[in-house]
Amino acid sequence: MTAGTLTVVGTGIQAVAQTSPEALACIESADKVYFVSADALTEYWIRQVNPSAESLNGLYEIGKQRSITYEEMIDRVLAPVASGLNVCFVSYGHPGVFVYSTHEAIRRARKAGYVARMLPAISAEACLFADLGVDPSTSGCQSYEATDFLIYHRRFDTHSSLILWQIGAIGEWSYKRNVNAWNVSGVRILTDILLQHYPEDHMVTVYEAARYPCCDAIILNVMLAELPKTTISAISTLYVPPHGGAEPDLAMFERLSAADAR
Amino acid sequence: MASLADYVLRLARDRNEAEKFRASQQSAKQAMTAFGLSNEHQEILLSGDPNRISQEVQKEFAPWAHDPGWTNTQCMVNVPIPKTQK
Repeated sequence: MTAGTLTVVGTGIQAVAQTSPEALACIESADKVYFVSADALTEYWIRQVNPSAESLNGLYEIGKQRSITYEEMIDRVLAPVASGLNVCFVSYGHPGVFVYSTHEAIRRARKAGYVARMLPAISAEACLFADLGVDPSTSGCQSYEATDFLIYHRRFDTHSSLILWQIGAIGEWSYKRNVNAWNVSGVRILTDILLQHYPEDHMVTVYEAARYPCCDAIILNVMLAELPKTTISAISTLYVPPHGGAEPDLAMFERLSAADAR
Repeated sequence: MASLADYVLRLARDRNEAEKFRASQQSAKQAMTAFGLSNEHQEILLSGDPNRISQEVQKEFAPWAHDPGWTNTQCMVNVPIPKTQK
């Protein structure tokens, strides 16, 4: 029996259109495809590309802890690898960004001696850089999951860009189907914390990448103090631009110049 | 009537079709009518509302289409799971 393999790929944020040729080839050639899709269109398309495709979306249940769902996904994906099949695990967005089950499936597959790899894909952050015209090289870029940011009191630099993910789902541990903001009080708490570091009139952006080729990205520019009154969904991201410029360390500049001269 | 999903899939895979849709409302209407989309589906696509499009596409595939996984969020905060739920 040949050794099974696991390849993890992503379909990007915009349905179908952002799937790379490399990812498509993996989906087409796999013995067995499992997927977690963000929309029925992508599901329809994946089933056309490879009839073996099986959705894992059904493992989500209202009120069920997501960590349990992720474990079930991993078990489901690895079983045919152990049987000698070449398995492709497809997720939306970038398969390695905000996805526990894909990373863990690869770790466990490798530990068991199977070949496992992940292909890069278009993430929401990649879309944000393009749509908002943000270049992380200009002033740096800090990126946190919003609940993580609050619970761990992440230290950040207000002179650098700050991206906070999942601001509509702060403190939500289970699965819900409602696309609208899940936890408005969480956004209020987040705003309170940010107001300790930024002025009330600091302009921030609530962002959602375009999900279909006939849609535009959702870009709402608001004053920070007004954030809790803004329409936020479960997939909204908050972009906080730098406040003021950082002071360069001239001594470090000279030290680096001296090092260069040597 | 033509399938909404098939038309959106066409937009996703055919850059020329996407350009036609985006060029102007009139051009989009002509392309959608030529494809055979109903007036209701044309209106939904022209609204540009991703949630409406998702709901309508999902209707075409019920019952096999699954709930969108993107409403699942990934928080990496390590929350202990009670043993009784394992």
